[in-house]
Amino acid sequence: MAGVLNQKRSFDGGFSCQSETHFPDRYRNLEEIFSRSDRSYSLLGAGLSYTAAGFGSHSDSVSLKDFDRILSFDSQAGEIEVEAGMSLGKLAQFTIPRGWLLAVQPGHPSITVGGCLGADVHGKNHAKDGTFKNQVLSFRLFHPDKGWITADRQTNLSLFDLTCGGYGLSGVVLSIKLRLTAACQKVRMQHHSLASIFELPKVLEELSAKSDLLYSWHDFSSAAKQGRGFVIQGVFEPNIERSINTDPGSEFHFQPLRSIDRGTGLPNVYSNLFIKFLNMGYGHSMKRKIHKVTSENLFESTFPIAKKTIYFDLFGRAGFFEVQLIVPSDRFADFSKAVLAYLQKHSPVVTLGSAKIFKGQANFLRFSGEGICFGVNTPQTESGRKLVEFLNGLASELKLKQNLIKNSTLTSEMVKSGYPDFEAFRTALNQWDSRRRFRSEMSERLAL
Amino acid sequence: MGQPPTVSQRNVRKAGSVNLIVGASGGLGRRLAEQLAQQKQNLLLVSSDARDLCALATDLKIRFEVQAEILEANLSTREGVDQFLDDLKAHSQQLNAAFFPLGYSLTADQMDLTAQQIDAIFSVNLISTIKTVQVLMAVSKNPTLTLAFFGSIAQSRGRNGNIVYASAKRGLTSFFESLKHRSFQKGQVRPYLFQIGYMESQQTLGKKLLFPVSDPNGVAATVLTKIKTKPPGEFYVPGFWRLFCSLLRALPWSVYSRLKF
Repeated sequence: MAGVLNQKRSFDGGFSCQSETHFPDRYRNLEEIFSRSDRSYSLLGAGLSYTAAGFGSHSDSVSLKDFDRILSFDSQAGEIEVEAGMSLGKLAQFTIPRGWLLAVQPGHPSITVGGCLGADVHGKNHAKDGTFKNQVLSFRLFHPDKGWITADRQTNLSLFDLTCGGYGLSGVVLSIKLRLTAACQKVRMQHHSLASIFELPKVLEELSAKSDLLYSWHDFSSAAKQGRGFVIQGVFEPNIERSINTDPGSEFHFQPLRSIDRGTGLPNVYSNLFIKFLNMGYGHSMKRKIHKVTSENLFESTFPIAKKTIYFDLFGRAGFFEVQLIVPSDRFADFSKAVLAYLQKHSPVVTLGSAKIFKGQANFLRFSGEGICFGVNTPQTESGRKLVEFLNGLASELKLKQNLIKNSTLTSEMVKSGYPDFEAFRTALNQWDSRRRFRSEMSERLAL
Repeated sequence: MGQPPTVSQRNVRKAGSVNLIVGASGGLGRRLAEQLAQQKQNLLLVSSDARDLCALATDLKIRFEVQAEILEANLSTREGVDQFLDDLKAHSQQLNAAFFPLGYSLTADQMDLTAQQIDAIFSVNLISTIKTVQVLMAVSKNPTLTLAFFGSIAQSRGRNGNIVYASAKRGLTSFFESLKHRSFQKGQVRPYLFQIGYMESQQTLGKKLLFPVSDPNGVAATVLTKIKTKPPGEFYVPGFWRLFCSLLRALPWSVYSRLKF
């Protein structure tokens, strides 16, 4: 089955290459594609990973966009089985009107369920819901050398463990059975002000148990502001009635997002001055919400960037860097001091600073653990690159876990310092698939 | 994956009229199935792989709460077609409409095919459709059974490419014309022929084509609208292909014979 040679780009703009992509729309096509024993493959979901996790120069990509069907739904137990190419938006359009929601979802509805499993993503309240793996009951995987395999927590547990957060390197997950959580029509949103970033761990700790969504926003336009900002808390309003609205209308509207189109024809518009104005405006709008409870649509609060995709376009064609890492709460103050000192000295442009609270443990290369998940965005400029080098160095020094799908500049040495199970993952992967049929730019860069 | 829904005459009858889609598992057939299900129409889906059919039928039943039954059939062989017709007889009395969004072509279709491949192309694109319509007309009690055939712009004028496929599709055009003539005189069926231009599929993937490629969703919507609002006839989708094909047919041989496409 012929593929198409096309240009691909990681969402952050950090890596691009030409490679062949296959778009199977039938099970037979899928098996035919993988029947070529001389090729290695990458699995492409929505293609919105910040790094090139779904493609690479030395592998053919396989898109599962046509494998997006619902295979079973238990409306009483809140369990659904879907094909891996289903987008979170399509899933939400089906489940929310029926009173159910996937508890862990990243920020944009175009992202696929398969992509969420591969990266074992986190949502808006890791401390309460854990990662995506916690929502997975079972999955069905195809490996060209091993055939079709079902894995869950009883059967093929090691494969289950290797695949959830295995970055698509263990085989093609075709369908996933998910646990859903009771949804609501509206979310009660509250905003809490932070005089500086040093207050963050305490506020997040206090609010996490009584929140369904919880994250922060920080102003790093000047180090003097000490990363002041807001904590955004969402609590699901109890359902008054659970009615099935199969005509969702504009409730589920969102702006599409595609890596290859992001920032087309635009230069980077973010500068320190521009960010100062933006943050001033955003800060004022947030201040007005302090001590007020507002009610928001569940879809919009689940996918906060669904209608704010312009934020990514304004980085221009060159793109941006993101560093996201987990800092243990007791070291967060020292970490913040170091970051603020760097900002004070070098004044790089930081377009976004945000954090969430994480709880729990994780093995292999799953981005999970205990502490504050802290992330910053900066444009792909020289000063941005230096900021990322500084943060990478700090992370290595403090042995912090970095989110592998967010940072295109990571090397295997950097990852090893934060992930004690790095070698264990690599060994398990090679034991499972000695021919390593699945690869990507990310897996090659990290020597996985 | 859930268990495949079983073919059950009782279930189909219980739900009232059904729309048959032959070639439902991918491309235009799948989009037609989805849009009909969205309109709360019950479906009988036919394709060569039960895995695709099962996934599609289950999805439509869950999302749109319609009846969706499946029939696995290999229409590329005579035996497969005969088996399919036997299975179909159990369902055909309740049919509201039958759609034939079938298309089977091979890249080597430049007089490099084996006899078996030629048989398969004719069987899928033409013979299975004719035989199916004959069975439906014999057993259907619906006096206004809608039949939707899907041709191709490739049949508008023969060229050195898709030779057998275009021949089969030209045959389909002739079959449609005969049915239309017959139905004008005797009624019984409402035949539509949709000549489809470039449409996103495994065949158009990555090819540099002269004209825009249509999205199967849009084509399916156009087809269903035409059936709902227009009397039976031949339609080009998108419409500009009618003009293009007419011009192509009108070209003098001295010019046409030099074209490379």
